[in-house]
Amino acid sequence: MEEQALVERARAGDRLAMSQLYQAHSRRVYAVVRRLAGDDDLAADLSQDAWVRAFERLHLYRGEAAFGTWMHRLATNVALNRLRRRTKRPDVEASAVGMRTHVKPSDEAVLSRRVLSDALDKLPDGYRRVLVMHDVEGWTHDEIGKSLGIASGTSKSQLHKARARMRQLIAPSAAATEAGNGLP
Amino acid sequence: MIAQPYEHLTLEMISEVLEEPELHPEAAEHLAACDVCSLEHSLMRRTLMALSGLGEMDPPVDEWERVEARLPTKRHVIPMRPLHVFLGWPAQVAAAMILFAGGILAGLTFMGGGPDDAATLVANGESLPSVGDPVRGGPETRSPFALAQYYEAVAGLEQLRARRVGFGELLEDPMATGERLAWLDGLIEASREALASSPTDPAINNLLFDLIKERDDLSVGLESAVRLAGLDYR
Repeated sequence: MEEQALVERARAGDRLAMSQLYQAHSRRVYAVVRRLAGDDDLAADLSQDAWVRAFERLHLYRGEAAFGTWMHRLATNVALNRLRRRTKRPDVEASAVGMRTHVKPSDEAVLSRRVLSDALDKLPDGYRRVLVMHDVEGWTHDEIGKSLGIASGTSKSQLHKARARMRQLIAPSAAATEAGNGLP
Repeated sequence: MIAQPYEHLTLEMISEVLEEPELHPEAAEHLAACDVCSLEHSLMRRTLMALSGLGEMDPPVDEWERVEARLPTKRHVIPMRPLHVFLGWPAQVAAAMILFAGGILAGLTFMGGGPDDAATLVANGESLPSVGDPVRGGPETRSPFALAQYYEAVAGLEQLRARRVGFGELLEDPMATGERLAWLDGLIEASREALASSPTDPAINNLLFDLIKERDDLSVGLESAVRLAGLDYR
């Protein structure tokens, strides 16, 4: 069945249609909120909130974009709004300035999804949000700035610091690989 | 390539060169001559490529159950069935008059008795709003109770079904038919309000179309029944 028909049925309260929309998009939605949250429990809450909000506000979906795009954006906004209200780790770390790494990681270590995910989780919240939005989700600095209420220049600055910290976080894992400890 | 004996670029600078190389010609020149920084540059670029390729993730296995549990009470759209079947029963003319009056009363109660109410229009012998009528209800007429009204009407129709009041029994149960008219009016009003917010929504338009047609069929049938009985219901 075409997605628009599913959306119309879901608008009318059809739970089966809602379930089908959920099944089609839940993995993508969960991925973005999980990466923004950096934490499994929080991500589970955020993802649930996003879906409940989506079905409550389905009448606002005009069909200009694909449902998946609308849902993805809504989930991102739900996550960002919620994350903005909590402080888990400091957003700005002066120690990021001048960071260097001289460890030579293997390609496998750099590209391992698990290593990347673990490193993302360890980033300070502010760094992680900007890096996920820019480097994973493909937002521009202007879009990030508007969404987070910061200047686009601040977004750029945060991004470079986040990447630097990311490389530092990846390096020890890579060193372990080179020492023969292996990576999962 | 041999590393040069000067200070290496910071990771932030390497990121900046990746983003906007034209803004950092000196750093780019250093990268071309330094093995260490060149490797870092390459690794960071590969890391960013890997980040952009991170795929989807499985949500918790019970997520849908949790989402569903938080959704509003399940809404049912009552399947609309033609009412002329039972309206054609000539033996029920007198009962039809009572039913119609009951419908008017219930409608007035439900709708608040405004001068444009469907029940009032019927009572005044005027035509009910039909499918072709322009949709009423600009922002000033929207009510925060529209959704509650919708749920209430659906719940009312569900209760009729739960009481096993079938279409045949409706004429034998005056209050049931009166309630049905009232609930239909309630659904129509709620749908009109919803349509005022989303005038082009095909689902709401279709629902409103069906509801008005059923309500009109019911009302016209009852009017005919009353006339046949030679009774003046005004």
